[in-house]
Amino acid sequence: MLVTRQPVLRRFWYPVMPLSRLAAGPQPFTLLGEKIVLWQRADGRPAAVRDRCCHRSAALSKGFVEGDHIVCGYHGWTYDGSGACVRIPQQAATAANPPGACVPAYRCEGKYGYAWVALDEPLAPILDIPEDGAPGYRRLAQFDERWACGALRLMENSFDAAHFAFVHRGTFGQFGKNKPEFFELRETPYGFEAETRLVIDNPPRAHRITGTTEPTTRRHFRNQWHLPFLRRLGLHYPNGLQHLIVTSATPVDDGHIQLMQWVYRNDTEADCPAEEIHRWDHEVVMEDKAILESTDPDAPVTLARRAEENMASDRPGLLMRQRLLALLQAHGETEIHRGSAAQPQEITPCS
Amino acid sequence: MLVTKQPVLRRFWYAILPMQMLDDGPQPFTLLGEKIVLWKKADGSPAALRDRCCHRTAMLSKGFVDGDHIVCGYHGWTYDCRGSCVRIPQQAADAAIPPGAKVPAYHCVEKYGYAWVALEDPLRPIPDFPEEASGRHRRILQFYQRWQTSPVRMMENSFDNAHFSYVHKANFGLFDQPQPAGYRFEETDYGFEAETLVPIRNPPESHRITGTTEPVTHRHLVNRYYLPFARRFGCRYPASGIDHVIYNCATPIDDGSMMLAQWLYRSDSEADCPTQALIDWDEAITKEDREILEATDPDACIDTRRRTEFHMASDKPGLIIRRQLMALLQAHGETEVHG
Repeated sequence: MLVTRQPVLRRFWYPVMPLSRLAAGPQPFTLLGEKIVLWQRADGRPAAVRDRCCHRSAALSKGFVEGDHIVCGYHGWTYDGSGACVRIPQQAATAANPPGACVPAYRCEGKYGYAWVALDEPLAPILDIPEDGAPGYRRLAQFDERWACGALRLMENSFDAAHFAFVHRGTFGQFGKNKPEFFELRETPYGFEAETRLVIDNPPRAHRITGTTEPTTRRHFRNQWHLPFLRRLGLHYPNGLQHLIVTSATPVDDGHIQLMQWVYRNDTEADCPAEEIHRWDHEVVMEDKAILESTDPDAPVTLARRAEENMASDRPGLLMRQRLLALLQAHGETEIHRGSAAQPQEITPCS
Repeated sequence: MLVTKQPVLRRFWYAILPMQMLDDGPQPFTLLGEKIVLWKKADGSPAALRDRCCHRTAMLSKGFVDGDHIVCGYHGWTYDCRGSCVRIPQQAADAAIPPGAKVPAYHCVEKYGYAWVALEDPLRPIPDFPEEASGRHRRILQFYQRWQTSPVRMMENSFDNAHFSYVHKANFGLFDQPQPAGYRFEETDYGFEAETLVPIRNPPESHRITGTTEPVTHRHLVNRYYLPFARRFGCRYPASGIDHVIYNCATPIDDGSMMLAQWLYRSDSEADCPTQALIDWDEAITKEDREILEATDPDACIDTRRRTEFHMASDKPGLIIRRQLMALLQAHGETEVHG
């Protein structure tokens, strides 16, 4: 599936960058192949419009912020959060702006420390995370990285119990225990829940992560997949410790994702310092990155194409494909892939 | 407009490279998407051919110069400046060269310290730089830089009084005076002339450039646009009488990049303002323009009926450039080709 060719994917919220980055001025991002610019308004709320001035096509991300507005660095044409050109400084204050002078604007919200963007009318709200702000929980921003891989590849990897023994044999995976315990899947409107209990290796550098010094421990996974490209991993340990990971494989283009990940823990910095948590999770995530960047980002979602072989433990990934295909079909689309792709269509609406 | 798709653009002269670059042997260049090679003949004049041997397609720019000729580095096939193969070293000296053994040749001359090329019969001569022979001006070859933008973007920027307050606000631009000065326009056979008087900031570091110490001074500009991609920035600082005249050729390499050739003529002496100080001064300004121009879409719309861009009053020079380019295309049976 070529994500930039499936318009329905524009109708979801994606986190694109930490809000803190906007303090340094306007920032460019590419979402589903569309070049956008984000900035922070006077009240701190983020805004997003197309990253091209409607005058001489300069990237607005080269400009600067003035109050609630973004100012083009070329001639100072100034836009509000709805994309309307509100000032042309070369004109007299009383002169009218050219009718229709605007750039396309996108829905943009700040939530969980990130700026979220939906290019078109969203089909579902940003996921609710009850632990965010709940007593006893802390939120830690973890990763904001560009990966050369497809979003579906990271999603299916997250629910694939069969890769631990191979990809993660250097961290928690039990090499030699090649027969995975299956996830129990429950479909939901947003995607599915997946639950399983696994024995995992617990090397000394993971002791404060798991809260135990036993050489192995049990991890109870209570995971969620949210259409199209967001996962929530609920890792519960027998001692009551929770390690909740939220990851978005934000689709940049047909070959790249921005991996956005943050984590909730119900312990304290004294119990396990954030840096140690990041080091551990990064080690695990880098094991995934190494193998995922070697896969074809154009992952098939139409099983009838028989483009890949499957095994029993691939069920979560197959369910994702079914749900994605159903989503496409519900919106009058079929899967576009390298073999079927026609000429790229340009999507530049101006509201 | 995709410059490589508009054949009439092949009928103009473009500055390709400073002559001294040819002292190092044959040099490759891409002009309007066409790969060419330049070299210097025994008398010092330049020549240009397609950069592909007609034998096994090797680039002639990988070869070497022998007298007036260029020699392919693969098998030594040797060409004169008209592109004819004049020697095949593997053959006996009296054996005939295969009929038709040649590569396409281009018009090529030296002027103002540069080698200029026209891929096909030129419609107009190389623009006249009267300062070259005035006896009062020194010539400085300021810049030879590859930019990831298109010549139309560079040309319109050159005549755009409205960007100073933003792009050059850290330099001479007056941020609190965004309303631009107007121009006096005169359309000519080569393009147009535009005259204006512009107030500028004159911080101490620019005093040697402007020749005056007043905090805000003026530039009297007599600028010229030469179809398709050359321009004169004819600046005189009235307070000192110093000429600071810049010529540019925005040589089209392909549909996403251009080579900026820039000459400066100054009417003062090296003792008044050293060459390096003049290069450093204009380099800072040029860098500011480059950064914003490389952030634009190089496929600039010249047929304004397409309505892909909005305009304001101060865009008049850029709109005249578009109109003259459109008239040029139409006069040669072309329409704008774009992405």
